[in-house]
Amino acid sequence: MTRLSKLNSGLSRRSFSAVLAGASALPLLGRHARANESADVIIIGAGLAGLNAALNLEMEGFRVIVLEAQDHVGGRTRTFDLDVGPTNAGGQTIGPYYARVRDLAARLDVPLMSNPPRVSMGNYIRGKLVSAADWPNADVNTLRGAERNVQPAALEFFYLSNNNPLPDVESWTEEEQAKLDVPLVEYLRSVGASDEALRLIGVTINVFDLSTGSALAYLRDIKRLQWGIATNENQATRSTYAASADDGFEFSEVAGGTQRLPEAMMAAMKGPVHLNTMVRTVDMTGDGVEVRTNDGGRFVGKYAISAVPFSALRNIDIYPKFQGVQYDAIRNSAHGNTLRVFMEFTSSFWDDDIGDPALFTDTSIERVFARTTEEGEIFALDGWINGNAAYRLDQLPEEDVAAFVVDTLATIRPSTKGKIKVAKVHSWAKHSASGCCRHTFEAGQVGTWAGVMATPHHRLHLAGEQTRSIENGMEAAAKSGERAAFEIMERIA
Amino acid sequence: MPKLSRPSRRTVLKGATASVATAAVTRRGRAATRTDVIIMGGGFAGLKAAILLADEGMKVTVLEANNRVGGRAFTADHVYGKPEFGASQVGPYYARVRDMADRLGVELAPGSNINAPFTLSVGDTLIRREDWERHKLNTTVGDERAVLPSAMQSYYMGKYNPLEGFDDWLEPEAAKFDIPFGNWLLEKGISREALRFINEGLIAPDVWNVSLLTLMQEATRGALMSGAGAGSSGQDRFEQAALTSSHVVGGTSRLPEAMAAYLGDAVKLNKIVTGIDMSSGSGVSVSCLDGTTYESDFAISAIPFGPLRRISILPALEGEQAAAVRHMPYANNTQVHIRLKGTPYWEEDGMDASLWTDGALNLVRQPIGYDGSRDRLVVVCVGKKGERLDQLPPEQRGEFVIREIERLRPSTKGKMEVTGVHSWPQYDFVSGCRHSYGPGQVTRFAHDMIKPHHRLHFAGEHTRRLEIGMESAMESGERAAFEILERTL
Repeated sequence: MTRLSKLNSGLSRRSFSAVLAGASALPLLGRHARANESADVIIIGAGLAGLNAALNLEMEGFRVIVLEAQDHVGGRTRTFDLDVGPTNAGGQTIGPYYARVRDLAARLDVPLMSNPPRVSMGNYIRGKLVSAADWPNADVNTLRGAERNVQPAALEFFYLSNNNPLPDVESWTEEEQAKLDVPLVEYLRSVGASDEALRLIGVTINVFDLSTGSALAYLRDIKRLQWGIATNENQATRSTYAASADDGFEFSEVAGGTQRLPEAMMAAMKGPVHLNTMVRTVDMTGDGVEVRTNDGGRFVGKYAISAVPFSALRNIDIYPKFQGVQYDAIRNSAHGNTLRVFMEFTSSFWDDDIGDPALFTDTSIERVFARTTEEGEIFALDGWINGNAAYRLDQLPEEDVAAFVVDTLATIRPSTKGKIKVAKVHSWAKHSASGCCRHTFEAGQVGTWAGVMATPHHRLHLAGEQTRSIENGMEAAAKSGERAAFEIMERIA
Repeated sequence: MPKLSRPSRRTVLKGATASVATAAVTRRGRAATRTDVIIMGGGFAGLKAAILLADEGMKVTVLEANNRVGGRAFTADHVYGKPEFGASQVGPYYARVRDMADRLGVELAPGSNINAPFTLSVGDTLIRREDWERHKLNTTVGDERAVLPSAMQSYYMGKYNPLEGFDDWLEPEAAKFDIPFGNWLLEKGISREALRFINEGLIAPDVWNVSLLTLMQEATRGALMSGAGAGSSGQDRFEQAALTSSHVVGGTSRLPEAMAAYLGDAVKLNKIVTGIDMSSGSGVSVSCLDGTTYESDFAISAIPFGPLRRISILPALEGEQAAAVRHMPYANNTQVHIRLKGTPYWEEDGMDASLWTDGALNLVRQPIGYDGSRDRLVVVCVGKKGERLDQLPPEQRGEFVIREIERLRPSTKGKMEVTGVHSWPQYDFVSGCRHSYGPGQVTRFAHDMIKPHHRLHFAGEHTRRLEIGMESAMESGERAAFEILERTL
């Protein structure tokens, strides 16, 4: 409330650039370069976190400059305009309680549409193609007891939603929950998952593997998703989104692709967003912050915000350097990877076999989703490979990845033979300046790191989804930017 | 001096007898794809192990994920000037490499990686080396002032490295040096600016994230290679080694190619391993992405931990060995290769042709061809600089580097054409140019991580004991092969 009341009382619209122009203390670097530009706050990263920080600061009269390494804004909201239509490679679904994202879209006239209908997902398990309907009684279904009725793709949610001991989302960092900061495999076993369930969950999990990922971090995410679900009963066959939507909660997407939102945010800014401008050093040894870019540019601010993932922040030289546990978290945090293979198709091949357009597999191509228009028409296939399997395929050149996915599909699902063409291969680890699709906590790291990851370091404030507390997805990014902006407003007030 | 030496005659003989027995079992009706030993990785380590085992009568299969052998020995035959993307220097004491070349008729010649002398670019200002000591931008302190920024690391290591024997780094008393390099430098009284210079050129993320001990090992072994003793102020280790080393005539790749040719059809290319299953207890089953499966009595992982962590191993690795495979950092090395055109820029501005920078790039080397040609540049970015370059899409990297060189050194304007871009971390099946222990990891990992895991043995430069460079890969392959020979007695 203090933050909000400060905001409401209205900060004075003073700018610090005048003060900075007269700054006399010499920073460590750049004694010889002239300032290219100055502002009150330099923001590194033009994803949802950085842009929301920028808009919040500008609303209060501060001057900001946003530096973006890539040739586009949006970070991990990326839309590819393929021949078959705009396709999201990153952030996509806007949850019912994504207040900031919905508010931004409304204010900036970015149209939302309702979440397109989901398409049924069949299975290819242990060498056999099985429809979703036939799964519970299939001979390759070696699951035990209640889990037999759960679709392989829903096993993770089945176990973590029905066995979520967190009383609420906020409590995930409380000391008494540290007992849950254990490997996922340990937790899943303790709540009854069979070896086969573990194997199937392990296929798609987006951490290094089940024995390293923290159960606590997953339980937090699931708990947040469960806010959007009126009842937790009968979750055996439905994914989170499906369950929530069935219960009347509104899920949305940005019409025309998620990236339209950050583009509108950039357009709404008064200050500049410099694209293709990668940051090399952040020097806070003098008065204020001096940011040097890879191409020799120099930007001076009173404060700075890092709104990039730790996988990118760790490549920036920070003076004075981060210390202790915070240094460890930034240097050593693990990150998820997602490899997306978007495909066009020439016929409804699914009608020739099991009837389900999408497919969960226990092979190296993991899952293939079917993307639909708002009206429910399938327009693209979306190969989706998570975690370590994505890193494995990242070792291949893109054209080999495309061929591998198409060939594997032709083998396991002969009806696709000759009917599929790859339109785009995108690896978040390999093809983005983010270097990842998300931050992940390994077992024990929530307790060690979560408390310090967002702590301001001298004049550098930290935003980005990795600093989230209770939100998920795009809302987490937007909120983290808002928080970092508020922190700076409080320091200046 | 090195403890690990060639095997005694007795060891070799015992190994040979045993392998004959194993081969006999193999002949009695096992699957056609079954051999005595599967070696994953067709770099120097894997090929050396395979040749040693094959020479002892064992049947081997080498599974190489890439479409060529050599691993981090990679002569870019497709790029103008045929630069070495990876290993190039055959040190004077690289006994195994030299012996292998000799045996296979691969020619070596003196000199390797010789570059034109360096001009400094500090704070975006070009400075001649001879002007550095008294230059106003030189804010280092005391004796450091006479040391070139590029040689600062060699200077401090040469001056204060307490290790003498090549294996001292593995002794328990050396554990006290398994600390952040930067902490030790501060303790030695390094100035802030000198520390920054070391950071700028370090083949690791930064001085806080690399173990002093591993750098001490390299300095100890490297001193023999370069012939330099105490800290030299003018040249770094690699420059010194260029003159005392040799190169493989026609390119480093010719050596692993000859090794693979010696092994014949035992070497399988394009075999991307996805799983190593030893749960049967009686052998190893190795499955590949293309659906093929190979079986053997034993296996050697001669691939870096980066790709190894993408492979599922059953039974799973445990303890510090699992942690090592999962967390061992790999150093970054991203290069842009350039062909020069027009009049020599270095004659135009009258400064030495190569460039050391404290900016976005590390080195802009001008290689001097063995025929005296000076028509190329090799831009090298290591550590964070390499990571940042890798954050750009590949097609933008060359363009960025050209712009940066032109900005730092206007006489190069319009005279450069990009001929090749290569990132070791992003290159297929490698994950980095070499391993790089973080602080504390020598103590945690170095001993445990090379221990055989069931029937799986470990080779590769990251498992080195005494050597560095390509010799360390050969050393590791030899060790792993001996381990298996001893087990099959």
